[in-house]
Amino acid sequence: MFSTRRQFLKSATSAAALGASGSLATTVGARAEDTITAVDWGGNYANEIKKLAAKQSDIKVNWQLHAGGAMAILPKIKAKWPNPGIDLLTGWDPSWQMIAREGWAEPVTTERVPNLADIPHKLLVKDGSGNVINIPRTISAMVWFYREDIAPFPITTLDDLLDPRLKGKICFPVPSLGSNLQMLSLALHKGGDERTMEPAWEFMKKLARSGNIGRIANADTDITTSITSGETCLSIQGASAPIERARNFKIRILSKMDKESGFRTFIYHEGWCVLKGGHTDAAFKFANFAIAPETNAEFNRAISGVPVNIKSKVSDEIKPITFNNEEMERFAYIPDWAFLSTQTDAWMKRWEQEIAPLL
Amino acid sequence: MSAARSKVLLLLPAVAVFALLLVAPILMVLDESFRAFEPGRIGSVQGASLTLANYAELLLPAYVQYFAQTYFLAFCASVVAVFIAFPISYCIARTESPSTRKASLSAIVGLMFLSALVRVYALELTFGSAGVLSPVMSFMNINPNGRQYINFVIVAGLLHYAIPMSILILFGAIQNLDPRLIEAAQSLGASALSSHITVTLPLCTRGIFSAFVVSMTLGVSAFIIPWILGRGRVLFISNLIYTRFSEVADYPSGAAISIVMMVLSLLMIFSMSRLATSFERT
Repeated sequence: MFSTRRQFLKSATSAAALGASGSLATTVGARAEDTITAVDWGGNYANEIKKLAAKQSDIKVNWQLHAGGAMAILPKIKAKWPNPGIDLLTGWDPSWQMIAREGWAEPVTTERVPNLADIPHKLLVKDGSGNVINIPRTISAMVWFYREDIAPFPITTLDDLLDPRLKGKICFPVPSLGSNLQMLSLALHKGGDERTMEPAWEFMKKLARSGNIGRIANADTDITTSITSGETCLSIQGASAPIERARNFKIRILSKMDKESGFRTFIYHEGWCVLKGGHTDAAFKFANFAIAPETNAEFNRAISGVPVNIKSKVSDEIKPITFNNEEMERFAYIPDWAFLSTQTDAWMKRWEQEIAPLL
Repeated sequence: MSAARSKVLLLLPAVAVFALLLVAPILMVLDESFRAFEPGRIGSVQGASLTLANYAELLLPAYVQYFAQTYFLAFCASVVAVFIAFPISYCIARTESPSTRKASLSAIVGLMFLSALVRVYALELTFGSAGVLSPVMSFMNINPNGRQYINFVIVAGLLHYAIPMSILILFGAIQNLDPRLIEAAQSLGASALSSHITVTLPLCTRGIFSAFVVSMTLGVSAFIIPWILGRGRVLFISNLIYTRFSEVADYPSGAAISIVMMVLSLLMIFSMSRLATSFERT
């Protein structure tokens, strides 16, 4: 790294000078308040939010990435609580429920986040004390999709998943991924719902025995890798990924299918919460900037999501996950997230005991 | 007396670090394993009641199968690793050229630095159902989606670690072996094969068992290999523990699995050690 001793000494001196100026700034007490630590999703999300952050100079952001699903970071926060070292945390409906129960989020108000006034109140999640804990930024949907170029036939109903021609061609997520919406689809198709999951388990056993499941996805990356490599051709995932994949692969998104098909679309929202005990004012300031009409539109256009700000423009590419009232009724389903978030453990154990041995 | 005191004093820092970084966290895990879990919370809540349910659950046939599967595949990989590693180690140890020996050992050590993800994805890209060998397997009528095939690929993944590690362990054992003993056996009429079986192998017993135990340890605790190569269909105990802690935040259950895994591993090491000692005596 250092070719000469002089170069090394020069670098060491620079580092020392930087350190000294850093500690001086800390003493003055102004800079530290303007730097926050934020956790965001990887891939396109991380790239785009960084681009957005570069357009403002008030807040410096130290970016970290989620490793695994949205839930994976929560145990790490608990281990470090009350000093989690994170100011702004991205998450989605089920994780808000858990954060609300733990009481970790700083209350969100329109005084602290003025742009919240332009966001539908239905998206706001409250904790036990009635405080809003989330700052929504994206509406998206969990959608079923398949690669038309490698699927052996056009897939039109959930019952097709049992077709022997799909041997090893399905990538099915574990219940802990996506809050088990994949099995909720099966339940709804067979006359159940989130509280009546028995029909889903029965269907799942048939599916596991059929040999049609080629991969069980433990993380979003498993789905993306499996589908793009051609290992499998059908799965369910947050819409951003399949919409982006559709730019390079012949992907059919089954988001607007009749109820009889069983391919229901689950609407959810993603966003931030500000954790207590950190640089809360700076975190709120950055979140407010990011959900302004233009910035919210720009970010969501890039990640193929629907902006939450009612003043933001929607791009054409995300038509598969934009619904009018009638379409919402026909194709979409909004589950009871609070209930789902309490079931993951039980569903995961049942999966391990009854489904995994059949795979 | 003062010498004994000095020994104790010298040991104190190491014992303190050991107690702080290993014993204390394990005690916390042990405590967590006996706590009741409230669904929807992260870990056990403060003052959670004591329960044995987290352990009782592991007696269900499905979990017994996960343990058996983990130990069986690790066992297979360890046996194969020792079989492959022994002749390689022997060749390296008996090579007359010091530079060839050094280069060989450096290459083996270098292998250990290769990222686990690189090894795993290399195997996946080669042997996976969409891998480059997929047409060959199809021609040979091998189903790349079959359970046995996935187990085979996982064992191949485990061998990536087990073989280099076994080579390094066995190298020491073989190098310490006095070659004159084999020459003596052969000068007394023993064939190359019988001198190998009756002299070399028995004198390397400790090294062979060590290589086996270390390979087993690496195999049993493997995480990313079954995670990727198992395609989510074959789960190791480490994967279950990760899911419990990280994905569903059920610390008590994850802690119980961890404790059972640790006890089983200690028992395995103890039995292997006893077995090695009895082999050496005979």
